[in-house]
Amino acid sequence: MNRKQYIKSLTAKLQFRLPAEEVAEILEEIAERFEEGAAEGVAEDVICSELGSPALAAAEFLQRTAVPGKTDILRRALPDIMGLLLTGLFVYWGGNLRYSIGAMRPSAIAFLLPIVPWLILLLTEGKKCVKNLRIGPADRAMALCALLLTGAGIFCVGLINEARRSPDSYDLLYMLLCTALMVGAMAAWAVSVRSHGGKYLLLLPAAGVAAAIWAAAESFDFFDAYAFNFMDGDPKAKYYGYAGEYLGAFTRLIFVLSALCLICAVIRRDAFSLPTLSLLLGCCGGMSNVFFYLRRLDPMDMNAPAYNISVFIPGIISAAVWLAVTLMIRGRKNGAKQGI
Amino acid sequence: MEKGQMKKGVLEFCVLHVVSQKDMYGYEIMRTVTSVFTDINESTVYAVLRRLHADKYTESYTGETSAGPKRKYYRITPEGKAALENMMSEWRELLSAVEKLLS
Repeated sequence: MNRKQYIKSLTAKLQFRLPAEEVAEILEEIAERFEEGAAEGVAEDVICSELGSPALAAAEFLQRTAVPGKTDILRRALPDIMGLLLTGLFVYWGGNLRYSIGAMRPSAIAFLLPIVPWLILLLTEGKKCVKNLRIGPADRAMALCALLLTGAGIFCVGLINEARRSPDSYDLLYMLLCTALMVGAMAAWAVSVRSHGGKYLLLLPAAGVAAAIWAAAESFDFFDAYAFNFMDGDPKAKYYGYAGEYLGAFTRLIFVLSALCLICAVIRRDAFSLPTLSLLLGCCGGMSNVFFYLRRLDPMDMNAPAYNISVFIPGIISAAVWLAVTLMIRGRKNGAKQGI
Repeated sequence: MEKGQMKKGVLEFCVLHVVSQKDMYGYEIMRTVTSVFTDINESTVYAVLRRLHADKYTESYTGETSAGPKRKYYRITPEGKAALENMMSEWRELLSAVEKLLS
């Protein structure tokens, strides 16, 4: 076995079981060992033998790696939990802005209020990114771009939701803009995580499928809008309405399930990184979209406080699911190390 | 008892003691330890070093060398010194107890 094969094998055994930055540090030490050996004229296969097999080395690192306690996990999770809850607020921002403009009643508080926590989120995540992640300036910039684009995309989700009350020619533009922003966010996110050994690349197709399901759900609403605007008096209009309502609702349900599966899959790899947060924000924004839609099926007054509060529900559910799975996985790892 | 299990138990103590003598880089620490424990895998020493670092018994810094690239050096922390003293005391008690039993 040579150096390249050894490091590749060791990486494969560590990369989904330890945080990315820790794996990078371990590989740096091993690479230094090979360089020192090469300087002394020792052959690579001899160094591999002295290090022990990649399987044995990985077992040693996994056995002896410190696992954060539950208090530490909660402390580190706080900015991410805040980010998830802020997503709901951001969707509300987009929806309320459109409503305010349409009703000629601009609400400065509704427009400005989400900016403050959003800035706090950026500062905390940016600081964590610098401190915890061993990525270069270009990757950091791309990760922050992903976060900003995701936020902008979620903002547009709110705009689109409000647009359904009175669909017009801007609807398609908003949807295309939202889709473009989310695609851009995913691309920036993918670029920003390339230094993590590509462990997120396998999740990109799944995220793409989830995004496509969401786009399909959005597109079914145009059946409803078309019937409302252009089929007045036509007996077939009700079937167009049914198609829009029920196909849209069913597709959104599929999206929610796929988003939850994706969140759990990401948590298993690395719960506390900026790219993870970007993905979770995107999923949560989509789930907020679902709740907006489901509320519309209820004849309840849409200006009632309950309607606006419900936008936070997806964020709370996502945070709860994410935290529960993370603690469960960490607890299982703790138990394994203690021989339980 | 699995072969080598006893050595693994004292390895953290030995690595911490080596680091307490002077600031060293990873390869240097590994070489010092494996020169005495000849049948220990080098990755075991690296893993122990990482554990001590994670427990804040050691801290690292990037240092210049007279020739060659910059290296990551390790030095013992105040917490590490306290832990080393405890380990030393425990080792002496163990040694004394085993010697009594064997005599």
